[in-house]
Amino acid sequence: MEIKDILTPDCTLCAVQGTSKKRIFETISDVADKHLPEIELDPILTSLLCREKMGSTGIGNGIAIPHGRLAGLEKVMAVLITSDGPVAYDAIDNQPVDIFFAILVPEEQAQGHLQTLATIAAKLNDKDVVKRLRHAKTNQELYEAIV
Amino acid sequence: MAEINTILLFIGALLVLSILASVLSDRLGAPLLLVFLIMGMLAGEEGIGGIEFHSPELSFLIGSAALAIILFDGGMRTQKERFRVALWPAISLATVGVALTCSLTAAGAVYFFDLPWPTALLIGAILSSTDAAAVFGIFQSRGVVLKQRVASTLEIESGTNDPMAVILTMALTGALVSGVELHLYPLLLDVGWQMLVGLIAGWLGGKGFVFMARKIPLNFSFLPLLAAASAITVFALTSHINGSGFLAVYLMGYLIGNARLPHLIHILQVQDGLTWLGQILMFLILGLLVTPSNLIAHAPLAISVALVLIFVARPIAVLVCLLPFSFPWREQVFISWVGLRGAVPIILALYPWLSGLEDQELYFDVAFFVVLTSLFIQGWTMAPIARWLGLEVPETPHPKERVPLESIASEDPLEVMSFPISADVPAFEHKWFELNFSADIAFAGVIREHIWIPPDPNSRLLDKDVLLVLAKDADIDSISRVLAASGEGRKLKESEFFGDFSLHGDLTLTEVNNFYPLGDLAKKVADLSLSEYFSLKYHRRVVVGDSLRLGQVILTVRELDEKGNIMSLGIRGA
Repeated sequence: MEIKDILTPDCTLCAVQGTSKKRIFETISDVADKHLPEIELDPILTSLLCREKMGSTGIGNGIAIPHGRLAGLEKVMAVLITSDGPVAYDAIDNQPVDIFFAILVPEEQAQGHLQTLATIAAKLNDKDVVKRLRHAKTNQELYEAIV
Repeated sequence: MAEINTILLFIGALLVLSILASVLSDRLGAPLLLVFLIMGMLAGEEGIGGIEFHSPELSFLIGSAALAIILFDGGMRTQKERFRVALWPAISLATVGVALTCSLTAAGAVYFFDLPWPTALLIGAILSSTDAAAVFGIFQSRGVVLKQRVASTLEIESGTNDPMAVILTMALTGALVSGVELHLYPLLLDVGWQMLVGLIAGWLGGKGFVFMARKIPLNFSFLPLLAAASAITVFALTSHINGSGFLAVYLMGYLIGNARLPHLIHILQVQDGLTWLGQILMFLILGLLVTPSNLIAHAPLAISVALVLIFVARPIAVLVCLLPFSFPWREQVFISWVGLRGAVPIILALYPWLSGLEDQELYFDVAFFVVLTSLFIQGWTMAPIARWLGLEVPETPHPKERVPLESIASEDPLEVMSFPISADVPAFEHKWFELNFSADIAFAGVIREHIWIPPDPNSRLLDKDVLLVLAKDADIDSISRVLAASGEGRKLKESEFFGDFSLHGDLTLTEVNNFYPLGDLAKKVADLSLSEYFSLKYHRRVVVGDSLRLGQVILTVRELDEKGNIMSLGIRGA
């Protein structure tokens, strides 16, 4: 799987104003909702928040990979957001987060789920990639930094 | 005068050479103790040194003192939490296990060499205790961290199995010397008595020392010495009233090590040096004492005994002793393999020698040879086998250096800690005020290119900086998670071992199944929490690194609370 298979430029937002984790999740759901006309906003947000209750998706170094499963979704999709300042996230290393790579998976497609997440995490383990993400000034630059 | 100078010269030069030779041990991966033993042999009568040394009395004296110090140190480093998973399995190994190893080894010697039973049993008893210092030294130098259930079991076993071996050896030697038949019942009574006295003396010694350390204003250089001197005193007193001195000093050490004394780190640092000195002296002198050509004469017997011990007696003893505790098979295999024999058997083999038993050197030579074989075969292969069996866990992040502020009395001991910064450290390239801590911590600047830069809130933490902080000893783990890297070089990385995401331990399997495919869940487990499910599968003795596969998912225990409930688990795809 390649990042560009699941992420489109219209789902990539740079330097979002967000002061809280909840606010960021709402923005992610909003972006996903616009991209997916057939799906309502509420179930997206609920799914992300529900997963977050099971344990933080902050993987450390200021990066989080929130994810959820959605009924009615046809294929895996992602939303990439960076915030203009770090947000408290309860991440594994206790540090606030400014890079959010959200992933939504169709409910029926559970099998490859963890593999997809591992691929993204590996990509975000690359220090150069992260540096480029943090330095991106526009949505387009952010998109190009990751694909 | 000249003679004294010669003796001093030999002692000094031998110590210097042995310590320098330890570099070889790191290069070759050879157990350090093996190096010291060989150095002693090289210095001895048939080696290049040509030193004639034939005093079992002096060897025994130095050996006993060194063992007391080593066990005391071992006790101090045994943390309370380790007892949770390993106390009863280790005690089973240290009592029933020792008796089984002794009799099975004896049976082998009788079967293959037609030795009379009393002689064979004495050989078995001499060889029946294991050495953890040797084991942990090896893992430390390889940077391998073992799963706690295995590590603690081996450690507590070796701390507590010497009494049993000592008692058996003394009783059997006594019986052989006097020719009186040995009966099981008085022997058991003696074992019980020695242990009881050892426990009481150790408890009194430990509590007494903690009381003294808190109440008496001593120059702090004296305190570690006071600890070592008290340990030797307790050891000798206990042995004098027919108790187990070894058990007493181990328990005493344990009580002192877990009393949260502000001076503890300082005591441990000095103790570390003393323990090494003890190890080196003991092995050197044992190497000096042995006559290598005699070893060859007893080689066939010794090799067979070693093989029976390593491949039959120890595995059977471990299997039987751990039966009630249902250890995972990989861990049983490893515990069987790591019954490493250290100095204790060689020291015990001096008993028959000192008692003037017939064939006195037979016991010493066999013990010496078996220990050599064990260090060679098991010592060398231990670390790779641990990796192969998957018993390695990632090292918890920790500071590079810790300096306790011991003369400042505070409720919680305070320390200055240093953390080398690299790209793998979460705090890398951050400014100090950007970092989040869940504990109190004060920034004390960084060392950059050997120059101390006082705290500057606007400077970033860069590669090769060494960060200095002041914090409480109790908060070390939570601070290290931000300031230290996990798994550099060849070491296991946390994210690879546990997976990138973690889940709370109180989630039910059904809840997890809603997000990750756990496969078909049996009805009776679907409503269990992850913590309960692991307890069920691991018979309540869960440790960090235990993992279970469910469907396409591997769950690995990441954090436990003090009661042993799972706080969080890592999740990754199979």
